Amino acid sequence: MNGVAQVAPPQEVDVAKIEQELELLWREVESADHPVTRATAFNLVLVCQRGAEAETRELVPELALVHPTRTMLVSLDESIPAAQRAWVTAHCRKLEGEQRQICSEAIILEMDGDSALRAASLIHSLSLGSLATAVVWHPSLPLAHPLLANLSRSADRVITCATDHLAPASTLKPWFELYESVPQECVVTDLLWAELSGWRGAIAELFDKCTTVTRLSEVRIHSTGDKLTCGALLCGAWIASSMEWQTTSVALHGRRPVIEFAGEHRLVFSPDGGSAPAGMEFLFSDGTTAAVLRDRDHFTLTCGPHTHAAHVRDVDMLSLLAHELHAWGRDPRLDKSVRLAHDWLPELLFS
Amino acid sequence: MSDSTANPFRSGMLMEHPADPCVLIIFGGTGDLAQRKLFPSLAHLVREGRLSEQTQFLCVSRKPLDEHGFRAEVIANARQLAPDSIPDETFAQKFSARIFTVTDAGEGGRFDRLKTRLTELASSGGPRNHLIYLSIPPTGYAPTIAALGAVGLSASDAGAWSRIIIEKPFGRDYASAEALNSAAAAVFKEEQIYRIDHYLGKETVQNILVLRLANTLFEPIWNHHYVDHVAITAAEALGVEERAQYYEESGALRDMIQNHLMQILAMIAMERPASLAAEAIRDEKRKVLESVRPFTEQDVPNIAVRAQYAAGAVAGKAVPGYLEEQGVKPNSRTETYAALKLHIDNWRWSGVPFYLRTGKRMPKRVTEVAIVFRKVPHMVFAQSPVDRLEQNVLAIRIQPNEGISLKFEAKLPGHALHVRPVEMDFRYGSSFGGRLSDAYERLLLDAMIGDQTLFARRDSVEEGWRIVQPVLNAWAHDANDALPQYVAGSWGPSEADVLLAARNHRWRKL
Repeated sequence: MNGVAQVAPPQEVDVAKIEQELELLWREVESADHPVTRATAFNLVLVCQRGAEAETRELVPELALVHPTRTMLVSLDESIPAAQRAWVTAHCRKLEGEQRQICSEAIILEMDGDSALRAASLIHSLSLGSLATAVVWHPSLPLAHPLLANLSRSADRVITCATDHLAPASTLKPWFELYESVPQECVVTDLLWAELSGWRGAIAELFDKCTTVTRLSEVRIHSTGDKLTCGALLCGAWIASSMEWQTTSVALHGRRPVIEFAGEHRLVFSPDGGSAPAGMEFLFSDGTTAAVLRDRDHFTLTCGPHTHAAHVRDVDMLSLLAHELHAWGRDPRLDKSVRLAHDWLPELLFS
Repeated sequence: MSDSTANPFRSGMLMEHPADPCVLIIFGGTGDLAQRKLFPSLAHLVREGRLSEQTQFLCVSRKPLDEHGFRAEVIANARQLAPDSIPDETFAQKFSARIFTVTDAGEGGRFDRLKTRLTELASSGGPRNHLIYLSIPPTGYAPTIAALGAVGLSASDAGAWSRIIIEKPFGRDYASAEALNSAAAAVFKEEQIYRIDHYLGKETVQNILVLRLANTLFEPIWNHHYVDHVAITAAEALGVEERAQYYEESGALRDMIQNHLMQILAMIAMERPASLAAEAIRDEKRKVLESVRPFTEQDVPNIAVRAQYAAGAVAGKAVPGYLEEQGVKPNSRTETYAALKLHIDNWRWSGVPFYLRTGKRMPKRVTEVAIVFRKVPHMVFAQSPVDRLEQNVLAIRIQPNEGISLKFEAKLPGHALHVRPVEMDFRYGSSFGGRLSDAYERLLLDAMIGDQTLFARRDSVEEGWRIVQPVLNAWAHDANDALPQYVAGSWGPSEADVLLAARNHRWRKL
């Protein structure tokens, strides 16, 4: 696979004439030596605070390699007087063994002051109506933002980057609220869920081999840091919902959150102050144990006397986003996990 | 493979099922296929983290092989043939460290040294699962399988599995295919045998099921009420290259039609499976192949065409005729082109001909399935300048430029009513970015996971041979008839056009 190249530096254009300017741009691109296919699989809207624009802009050509889209990169600065500016550009990659180039277009929008509130109408008018729309909401902006609420009413997919797995569990609260508030047709995920796919895969792999899952009685989740983390909470909720355990109590035992379930099952979170490796222990009713430990580039899976390693996949923002943009359907595993973690969170925060 | 339904954490995660750790035992590891396809595919799988960290590759050679030198050769070839499979030196070292060799010619009908080497690898923490890959000349299949059985390497037990991948050709006629299958069945159970047909690993072939079963648009018209005929083409621009010895014994019918094109036909024509389980799909494929109308040797002149390429030019370059190719017998009657007209005698396809053609030294490399729909029942444009309407065609391009196009009629802009065929075109390369996995990557991974969906089952292989056997017999018996020729760089002999002309059908221009 060849890399992706920007056909020309972004050209500033009149906001009212973006479509016309894009047509002109395509005519210029197509008149070049190589035949061009203008490819758009869906509308991709990346929204960030102005200060994060450079970082977000770097994602655009990399994502274009995997997902040919009409990309709209929208940066907001609500602290300065109202203004709107727009640029257009295109990114092309050559098909292997062919002269043909596959190109996708990008529109860069700066929405300042209260024009940020009107950004949704501009994005809607620029979205190709026959195609689905994915919104990626950068962590530089709060989740409780009217633009996100507005975009999620018409988007098919919203991907937030609200938190990371090491952040305190309390940071999940606004995300749970967003998750509950968006229309049913819109699929919302956070990159945290994608980031946890490595852990979920490792646990699933452990229990492919370790056939004692029906005797699982207690799970201990050790996380670095001194607080219950987002990653630990959501992973714990996923384990409990996968096992179909019914919550009976949520409490703090010292510093340790402990969730009790019907049938004498327990989930114990152990924030270990950063000294212990992140990992999970699985205790079975017959006294045997299993474990998943995370090392730098692999998981170590232990079931009784047997140990083996599992690969750790990339968790940088680009890889996670590219992966998430492949999945447009609602993930019932996430639904169940969010519901459970959402139920536990008030008790844990209150405690 | 573990039963995923017993593992609640697997729920909704089937596509992410990891490959079990195993030793991939490659017979023929120094050969062209292993160097050109298998090792680069394995490198890609390792790069993408799709293989277990413990998985190792053990190359079995008849002659002594220096392990260090062999690793270097694998890396050098992969760098040359699939440069992105080996991104840097660190990866090259990591990948080559998984490669091991053992010399064992199977003397006395036993692979004792191989068995010992596997025991050594296992005792130093290597996997106990064994995936055996036969990438050797077909004459070696039966003795190799027997020798594996003699040392117990076919045995799966509770803690470990043993599977075998067999490369095509699976026999050279019905009798030899049956004999090979019986030899394999004497040592391995059917669920351990993975007959690889790399066409089935291609993204577009897999997409046939999705196209049919995930869209409401196509399945209702996927039958004789709407489909006029189906044409499956596998054209190659290359000649026999370095494979003259193999090709002389094989020919186009055995090399392409009996296996690749017959499997594609089955995917196109089969009934909807009850589920996506491997056996459900393979059952439907068997049923549809069983429904292919039998014919006799006497029918062959009316349903089959063969030819050899004569000197000509491909892509502007002069090329010799088949008989002038190095390694080809001067009086060879091996066909480099074959076309078949088949009928499927079932409710869905009654009266719909399926045309299959393949050839070497054709104008370009292209494999496609064309579903050609019936003409409109009434020509409402009779009093207008529109004198004829083309038939709608759904074309599934398997290689290159994998994709699907739909041809339909559209009005030309302007006051007069002029109609022209246009195409809606979907291409994997432009709709989806990223790298398309090589078919071998998918198939190797499936074999390690234990998913047989994309591998040919014994019954469908034997059905494929049953279908073509009368053609093989007829062609073997008409040794004195002149073999039709086609100019290299053309789309085949005129006889192949005649095959379709009876129903006013034509091969598509590709």
